[in-house]
Amino acid sequence: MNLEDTQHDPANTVVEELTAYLDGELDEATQIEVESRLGTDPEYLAELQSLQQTWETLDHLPKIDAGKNFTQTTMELVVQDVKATQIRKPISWASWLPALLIVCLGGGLFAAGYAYQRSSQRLPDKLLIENLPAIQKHEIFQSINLDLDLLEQLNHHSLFPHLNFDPVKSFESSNGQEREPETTKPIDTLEARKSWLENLDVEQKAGLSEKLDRFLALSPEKQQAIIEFQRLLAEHPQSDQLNFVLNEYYYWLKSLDPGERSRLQDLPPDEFLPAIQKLRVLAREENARRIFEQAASSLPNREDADYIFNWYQILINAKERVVRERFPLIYNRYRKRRNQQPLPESEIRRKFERRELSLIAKFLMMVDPDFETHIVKDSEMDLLIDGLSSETRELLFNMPEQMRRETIFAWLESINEIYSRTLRVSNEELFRFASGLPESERDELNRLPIREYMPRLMELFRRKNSSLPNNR
Amino acid sequence: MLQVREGNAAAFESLVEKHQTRLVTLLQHMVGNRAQAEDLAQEVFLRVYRARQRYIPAAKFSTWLYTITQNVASNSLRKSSRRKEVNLTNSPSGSMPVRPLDSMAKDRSNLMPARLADQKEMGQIIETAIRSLSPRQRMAMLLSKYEGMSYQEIADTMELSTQAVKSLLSRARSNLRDALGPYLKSGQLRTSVDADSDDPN
Repeated sequence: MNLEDTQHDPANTVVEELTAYLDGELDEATQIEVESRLGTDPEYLAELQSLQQTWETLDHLPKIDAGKNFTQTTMELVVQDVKATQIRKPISWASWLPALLIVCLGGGLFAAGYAYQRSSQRLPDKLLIENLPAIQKHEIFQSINLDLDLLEQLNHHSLFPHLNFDPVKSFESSNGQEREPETTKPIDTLEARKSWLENLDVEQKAGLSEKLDRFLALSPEKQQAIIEFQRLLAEHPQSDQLNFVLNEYYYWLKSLDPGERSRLQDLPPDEFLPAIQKLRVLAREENARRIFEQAASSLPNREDADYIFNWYQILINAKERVVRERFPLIYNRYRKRRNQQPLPESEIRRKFERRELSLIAKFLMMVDPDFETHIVKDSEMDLLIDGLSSETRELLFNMPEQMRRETIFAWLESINEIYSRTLRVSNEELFRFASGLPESERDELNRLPIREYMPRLMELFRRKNSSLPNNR
Repeated sequence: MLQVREGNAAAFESLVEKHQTRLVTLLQHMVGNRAQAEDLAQEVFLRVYRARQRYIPAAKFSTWLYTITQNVASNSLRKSSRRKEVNLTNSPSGSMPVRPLDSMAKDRSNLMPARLADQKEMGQIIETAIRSLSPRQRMAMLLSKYEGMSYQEIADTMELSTQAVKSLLSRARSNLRDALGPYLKSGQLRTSVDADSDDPN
């Protein structure tokens, strides 16, 4: 037990007593004493009121709903666990048989019970195999009212292009192939679909089963219209592009609040596109404003910003192997959260091996909750803080440790955003250049303090390239 | 829970449905990340199922549930003591930088002295204050405030003495007051009492 939690500091006695009073945890005699003092001691009363006021402030925190598939996925997780437990059981029959029987019987009953519950949702194979692409994406198709003309209009007006300032999106879309490959590229033959279905894991089957349930709940006419829409979309000359726009549109629509979404969907056709356009512009302006506000209000001074940026670039470059090794795991977790199927690690490595290190590091920084643990060590963080101006250091040291680290990483994100717009050369290119320098120049560079490293590297790079023929 | 002990799937499903919101909310405040909170809540339910045979009907179910939750949250915080909160939807760069409390307070007081922070901003300020507490203070505070547990129940859940709980909660309140004080003083945060009195109806 942490002594700090139980030691009694006389200065805290009053707070402790009043807290217990507010929580109704005092015995009757002490309660009477407290109430008597409250009537005569204004400071004591003020202390009580401020504690009470703080406590009431916490009422404003909202409750957080679990995701809509939470129960379903939890149940599937338990079923999987029950099965795995049965497989792992040691075979020491004599001593374990009775217990094993109980566990297997209980677990088996549970799995069977749950399977029975779900049995009404068993996949009717023929229907599913024949109409797999339509069933998989029927909700996305319906988001646009099965209106191919409208989809073409959205595409024509470029209302859903890739957004450069979103590193995750730009990362995935930079070769235009990675986004939702399993849904934008329907599985063409019936045989391939059958085999794909057979290879789904429990979780994926449950997800598909839910989609099928919702599809079957539609009227036969609607089902037919969806199947026809999917056929038209697949045969469209710009099928890939339209699928991409439709996906973007669907997720954007989901991101709107329900009132806004319903207002938009109720608009007559001629007002629909302009309304989307307006909302998209507003969102972009809001995003730009937010970037500016955040950067302006919380970034340290320019010198420190340069220093943090240099520190990060050097660090990431030195940790290329760790960054690239961690990437497949985090990328698949990210896909899972977006209800996409995981990809084999080898495939992820192959697809992204040529992607810039800085982009991969940025992706990890955005989506890996353990980025600081796995990529940045305490000693490296200390080195960074030591090099900052005394003013910034003081600001940081006045924060709790957790907030200090989060603030530094928040600055880093903002600084990265700003620098990525102003640098004319990619970090990857710079570091490739650095590794190709003669050993003596490289040594000289490596001996420089962090603050001077990047400017010197940029200077060498510019000098070298200005003397080269302009055929790079 | 007794039916769950017998391996009744439907009973377990309704148990998950009944407790999921409170559990995810509590874990979100503990780890500061929604997706991770959901993963941990699933881990809790999985452990509940695995340990169902060990559940003693005499014990209050919520105490047992939150003891497991406390263990799962502590393990997670220990594993990644420097976890970074990431929210992919709140900002264009993919995550919302956490701004220092004093910087936020300064912005507000300089730019919009008369304006009361809206619910979202208030939530953000309170969330940041909660996250400045130590994990144990945070857990004790969450169980007391949002689960309405007595000191004895919190002590049972966190496997502490009631005196330790008393001390944790008084420190938690005191620290929260320090963190939220500037906002309360400047009127940017309202208590529920203030909010009620502002209602014209």
